[in-house]
Amino acid sequence: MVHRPLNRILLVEDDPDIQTVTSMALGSFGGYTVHVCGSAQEAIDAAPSFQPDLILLDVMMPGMDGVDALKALRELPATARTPVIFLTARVQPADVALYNELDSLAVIRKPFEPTALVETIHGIWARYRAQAD
Amino acid sequence: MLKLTEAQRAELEALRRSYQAELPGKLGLIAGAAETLPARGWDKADLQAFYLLIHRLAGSAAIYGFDRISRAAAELETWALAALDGGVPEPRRHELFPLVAALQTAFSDDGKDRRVRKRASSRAR
Repeated sequence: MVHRPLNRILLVEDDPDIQTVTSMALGSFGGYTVHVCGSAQEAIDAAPSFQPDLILLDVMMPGMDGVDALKALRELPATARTPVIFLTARVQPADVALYNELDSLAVIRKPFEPTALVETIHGIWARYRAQAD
Repeated sequence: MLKLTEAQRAELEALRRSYQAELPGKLGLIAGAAETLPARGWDKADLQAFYLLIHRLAGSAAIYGFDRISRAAAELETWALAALDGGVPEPRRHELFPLVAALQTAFSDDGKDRRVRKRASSRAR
């Protein structure tokens, strides 16, 4: 599989305040094209046309949570193999074990500092590409 | 650490100020929701709604740099989760309003800190 450069990020986050600062940091500081979805269903609807390189996925969302969202996204051809990073405060060992079982690329703990988030994603993507080559 | 341009720093600071301006409204909603809980018999749906308000504040406040508010909200979040899990017996009921008061104190302290830091950084230039 050819690993593309990281350009397009699908951010799935229900909190409007976190949506705002995260999309600003990723877009303005990171230079990425960001599409924000406020729910798992919005992400499932948007992913085929947006064609993200990476999905940042909140876990605790009303309705479908991030874990079920990932399973649903994996059913779509557009996102069957798209790397996913969970953004969550739920990082107990059992939670992280589940995220690993679901083959997430990484887990970024909330709360995060907006500029540090961009650097963290740069680092995760660089390691991901290096492993693929 | 990522080096931001002046324009990027200004953009982030503008967002933080906008968030800070909304904090009184958020705290008002939380205080109002807390008042509703005993009035409506500690209804589980009310507790869930209260938890969601608190959970969001705990998460977003830290990201925007309001650490005291985030910590105080996290204490309330712990209370709300315990209430959702185990109900609200008498001892737990008495814990609620001191925690809400602590959140309001944290709001005052965080606001003061940011004004002091801003004045200090203006003088340093």
